[in-house]
Amino acid sequence: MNTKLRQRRQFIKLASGLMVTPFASLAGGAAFAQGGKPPLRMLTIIDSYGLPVATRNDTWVNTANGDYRLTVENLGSILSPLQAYKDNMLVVSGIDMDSLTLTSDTRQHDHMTTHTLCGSRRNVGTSGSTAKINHASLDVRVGQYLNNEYGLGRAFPHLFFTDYSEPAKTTFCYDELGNQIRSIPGARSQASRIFADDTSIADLQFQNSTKQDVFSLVQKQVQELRGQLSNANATTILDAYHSSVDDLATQIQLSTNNVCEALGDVSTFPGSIKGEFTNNSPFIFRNIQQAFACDLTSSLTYAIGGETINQLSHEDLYSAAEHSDTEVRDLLRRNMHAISHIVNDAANKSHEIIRISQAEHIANLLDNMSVMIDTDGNTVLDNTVIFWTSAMANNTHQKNNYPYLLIAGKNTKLNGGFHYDCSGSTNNDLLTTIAQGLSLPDESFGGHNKEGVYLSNLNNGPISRMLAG
Amino acid sequence: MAYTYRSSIVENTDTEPCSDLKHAEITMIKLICRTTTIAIALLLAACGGSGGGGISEPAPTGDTIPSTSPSLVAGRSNFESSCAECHGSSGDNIFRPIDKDNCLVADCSNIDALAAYIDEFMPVASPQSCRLGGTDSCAVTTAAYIINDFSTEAPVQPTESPEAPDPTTPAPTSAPADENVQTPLARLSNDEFVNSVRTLLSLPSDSAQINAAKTSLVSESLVKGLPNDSATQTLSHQSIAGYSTMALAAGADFLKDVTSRDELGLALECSTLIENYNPTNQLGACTAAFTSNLITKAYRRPSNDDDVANIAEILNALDANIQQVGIEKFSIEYFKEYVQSILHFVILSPEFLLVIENGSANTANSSGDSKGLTDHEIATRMALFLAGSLPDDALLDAAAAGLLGDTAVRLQHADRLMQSDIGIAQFTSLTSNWLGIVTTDGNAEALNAVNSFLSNWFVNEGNFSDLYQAPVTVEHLSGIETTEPLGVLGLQAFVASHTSFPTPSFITRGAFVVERLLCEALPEDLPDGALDAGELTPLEVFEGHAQQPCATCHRVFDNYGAAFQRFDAETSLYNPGFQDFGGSFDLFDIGDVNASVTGVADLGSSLASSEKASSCMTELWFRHSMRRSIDQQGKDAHELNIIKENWAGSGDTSMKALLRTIVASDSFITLYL
Repeated sequence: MNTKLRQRRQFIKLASGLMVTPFASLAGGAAFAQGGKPPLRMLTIIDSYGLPVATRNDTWVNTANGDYRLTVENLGSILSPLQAYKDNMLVVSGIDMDSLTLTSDTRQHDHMTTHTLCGSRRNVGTSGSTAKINHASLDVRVGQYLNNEYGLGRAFPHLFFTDYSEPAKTTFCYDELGNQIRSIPGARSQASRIFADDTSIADLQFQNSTKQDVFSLVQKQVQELRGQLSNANATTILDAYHSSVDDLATQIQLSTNNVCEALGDVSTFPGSIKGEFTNNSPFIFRNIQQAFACDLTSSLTYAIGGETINQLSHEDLYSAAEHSDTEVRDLLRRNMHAISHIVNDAANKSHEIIRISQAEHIANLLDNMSVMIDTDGNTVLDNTVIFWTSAMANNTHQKNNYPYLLIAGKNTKLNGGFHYDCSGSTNNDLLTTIAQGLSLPDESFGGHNKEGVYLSNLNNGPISRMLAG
Repeated sequence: MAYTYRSSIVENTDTEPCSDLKHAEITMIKLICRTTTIAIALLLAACGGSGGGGISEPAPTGDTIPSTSPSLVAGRSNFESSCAECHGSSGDNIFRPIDKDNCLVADCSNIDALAAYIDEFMPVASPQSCRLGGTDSCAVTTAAYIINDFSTEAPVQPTESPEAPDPTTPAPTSAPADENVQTPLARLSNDEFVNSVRTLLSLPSDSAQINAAKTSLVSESLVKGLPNDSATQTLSHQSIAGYSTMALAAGADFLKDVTSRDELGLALECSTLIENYNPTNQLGACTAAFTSNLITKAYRRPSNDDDVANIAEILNALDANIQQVGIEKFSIEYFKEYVQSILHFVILSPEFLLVIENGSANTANSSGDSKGLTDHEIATRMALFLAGSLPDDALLDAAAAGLLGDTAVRLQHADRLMQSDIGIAQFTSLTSNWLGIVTTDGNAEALNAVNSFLSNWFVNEGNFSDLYQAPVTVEHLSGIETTEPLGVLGLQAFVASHTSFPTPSFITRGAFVVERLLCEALPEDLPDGALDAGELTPLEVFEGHAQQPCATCHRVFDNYGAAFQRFDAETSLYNPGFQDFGGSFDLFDIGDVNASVTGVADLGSSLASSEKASSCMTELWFRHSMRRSIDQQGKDAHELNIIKENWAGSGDTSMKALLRTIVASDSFITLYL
């Protein structure tokens, strides 16, 4: 790495460290980048069990007050690690899953996963690889659309990461034909699949190097022309030309050399696990970060803990100094699914601790995305919608009042900074809203029952007040 | 000649701008209030004068403009009356903030650009009601207020400069008289850029890669319907990024079927030479020939030694880079990367993107204050004027032979270009823009009807009067269809594009007819007051405007808009029986337009026979050819008069005759100093 690059890199790291609110310049608004369309992306993170009903208002946000502006004070303990991004948060409450799109049996884990990102019910009586649905899930639809619209050269329209694969289960992500998409389980597999030989990164660096060479030559030509055209009008225009090329070259240089790096020896990464969340998660979140930093994908979905349910244990999150209740520690030793079937204070506390840990990982990822320079000169975070959702609404596997969190980059069309009470709207409406927030033309999303029949009452259009412009 | 085009009015989809906000629902009283305030804004726009020149961005002074500055006082007033309701009094509305230092939808980097945006799109409820004009116009003062008072950076002061340079950089403090070239350095408009890339590489119009890459181009401002006015063109890293994306997409499309040297040779039209490629000769005869031809086309001039040296630099750089990815030198992948890099460079080059006119003192039409354009410059001007693209081979050959100073030769090429598909598309697209046709969310049938009307009018060499009088089919409220002599004024897309709410459509339609179709500046008088807020119907607003002080300004344009009453948004369809404004209206005297009208047919008749209207059309195409505003006090006025007289004197009032007249004029081949 040459001196100039190293200096820039150090600057970036310093800036990152000093940056209290990476979104500070957003002033609570969302809008499209000037003129040309920004290279938008979507990151979907799914946990299984929503939030315990009893502690929801304290750990998430108070949902009883209708719509309101988010402040640091009204973010609960789970959202607190994300407070730097409060102006870009859309905390959505009040939405229930419609029973017509859920199966009537007791396999909530299966049917609710499908509904979360599809808004439709998979066909009944099948599971695993034979489970089908009428259309692509939102994350896949978004990935395909954005790759076609803006992602010339992105290697993966959609990536699906998880900790543990469950091939016999119904899962979240479906392709355009309605077929299940299998996840890439474990940090090692993900890194091997995507970054193993560093080919993608090398290609990207090659492309950007050739761009830089072309830019240098263009600048040289501009300078030569400036010497030939001496009138003031030409001088001002050519100076603007030169500086614009220089700005673009600098940004591409930053994006190439400061962020997108090889991951090193991926064979040391943890594999597919049901074990401790915190052992695996830093690697998976780093994989996510690199997938965006290297501009490899338009949409990435991470199902925490597994394709359908989170069976990770979290004993390492227990701190005796903070929690005197040993029952909490005992619960954290068990897998999260077990915790979800227990309704008491200790289970609620355990759930809160796990979710706070997830939020901290997400916050760290956002911090890094907020200093990645995207190909249009904005940060990667500016161009991304993060959708933190859940397979079920709460720890007792219910379908009422899902806890949704969106974090919307400024170049998306979503209005951040608010709690939205969306009682009366449907999950389909929310999926439509997210789609439109990412510039998709969709006027509805999903809404099919198990026979594939479209249920017109589920789609009421986007939730317009969540959309800017 | 007869035209038959279906016309019906699309349902008015304009919504109150904040109606989707749960926290900011607008009451009916506010709607009426907005109607009134927008009317005020329109009146304020009237103070802008003729708007003959752009507004340059002066150098930042480092000092805040006193808040008592008349322009900022006016800007604040405009902002508070027409903008604050949605944006907040300090631009801090939580749903619609104006983040002036990070302005994204509009270009807030300078007053010109922001004013152009306001002129075209704001307020949302009544676009084109806060217009661009002189330094005290609504759009300019509002933009100045936003940039000056909202910005944390050094404020800027609006000044007037008829020959505004590119507003992305500070205006020069002075320029020697002999350097003050009247035609500024312009860049290709987006359409011209895309067409030129396609022409350069013979790519099809339905290229998926090109069409996808088009979305990366930064949107541009229209000045009175034209996208190529150099005064409002800007450059930024985002626009360069867009051109870069397009260049790479074009290269990818050009090389998409190339998997072998043979196929590359076919693409470069020199397959034998590729097979015989000599690695010791870095360029090789084939790629050298390809590059030479490419540069001649792209730069609109013969290639030279400097160009060859630049291409050699690309090759050297590529040789250093290929090691990163293990591409074998002289492999097909290597050659593809090489060609891709050349295309990227050439398309990003300032000589491709900018329209450079230096002229030559050695031409017959050169004098003390002018120089004749070179043949290649004439070829470029003709191609962009008539086809919106690069000169084709025939034009370049004529330029190389030094033939384009000959009027007869130019006219031969002009006729050829006007008959071509790309020439017809250019005329249709440009005229549609000038007519203010909104193409983003209109229905396809209505838009196709306008395009068909315009292209048939052009191809069939209809008279100028046909624009406003050719028979078109209109659909009535009752469902029946009749043929009426309304020309483009009766086409659904035109009327729908000028339908507004809550500002009554007669205001915006009337202002558009006066300003755009008659090239008449809106009045300068300011109102002393406004109508009381209340629940007013369009008729009540119309009648209120007939009283002073409103009448001072509104009498100039309201009646022009009232002629469209039967197309009122509420009726949805043409309805001859719908006359809620009264029987007839006396049009304000504008030039030779002086009539009492009862509807669009009468208005169309007046425009069709108006010398003022045909003169306005001449100005449109003259502006387009010069890529700048008209200097009404200078040589432009004289040249324009000659063109008008020659067009009228030709006995042919078709648009082709007008374009031929412009191409044949001295001004078309002259660079005034």
